[in-house]
Amino acid sequence: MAYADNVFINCPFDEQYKPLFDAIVFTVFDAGFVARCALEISDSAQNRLEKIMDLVLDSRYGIHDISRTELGKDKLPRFNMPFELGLFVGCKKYGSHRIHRSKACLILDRDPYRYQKFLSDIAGQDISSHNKRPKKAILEVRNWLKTVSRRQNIPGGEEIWKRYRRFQKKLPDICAEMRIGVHELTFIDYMEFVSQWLKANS
Amino acid sequence: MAKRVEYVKPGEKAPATGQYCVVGPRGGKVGREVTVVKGEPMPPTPRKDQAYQLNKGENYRIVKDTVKPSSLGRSRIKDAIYKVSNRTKA
Repeated sequence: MAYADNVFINCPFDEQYKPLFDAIVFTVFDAGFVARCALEISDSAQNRLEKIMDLVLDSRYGIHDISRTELGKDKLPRFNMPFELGLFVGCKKYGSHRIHRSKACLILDRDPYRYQKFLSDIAGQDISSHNKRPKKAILEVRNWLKTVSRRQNIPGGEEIWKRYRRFQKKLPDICAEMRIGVHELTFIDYMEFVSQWLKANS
Repeated sequence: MAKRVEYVKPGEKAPATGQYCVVGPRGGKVGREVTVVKGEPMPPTPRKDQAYQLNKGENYRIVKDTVKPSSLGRSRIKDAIYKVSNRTKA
């Protein structure tokens, strides 16, 4: 697994966001990259923040979804995503090796200009919006990866969307064959399912 | 005694995972770098008389393969995908 293939995904991990998260992970693999995210940590005893910093260090690309930066039940904002975005931008700027200067990140939000109200320091960066729609998220991620990596072999957004829908349709059957529920899959399991399905269907 | 510098030629297997710089015939860096995983073949160099040298001594942590494999088993997942695909075709 090479540094140049790793895409760090920094996003909410709740049920409401899952359709977007699954679509983004699929797109990353279909484009020939490897998705990395903090959910890998659940399988290890390593300190969470240290692990996140390792993931940032090992990833050339970062997808940061700040759409869930909003007040919770206790009227406090959730700030994990902007914090991890800050780590990524900091690593790009101050990383000890020049390899980190080549880091690139995509910032996603649900509306195009909402970030100006809570994170105005990132003004000037390209912020893309997915409008909470998986298809839009797939197109945004695919187009961004194509632009920043300059790789020629990345399929078109519509093609990835079609493949994603086919995969989603087959996933319950594959899980039934494995005697496991779709909702029981961990991130590591889901990654393995996606990469093996893409190998078998490319 | 001078330390021997190890060069890796394009097509040869990378001895370690890390950043390699392209060096000219006399060992001078030409300013281009690649990241290669241990065991993978080194990519072609811009010119035929060039080779690669592993960047050592720089404060760069070698990228580790840290993603753990799924506990469900890769071969079981492959089999399940194969069965479901065949069922659909039939």
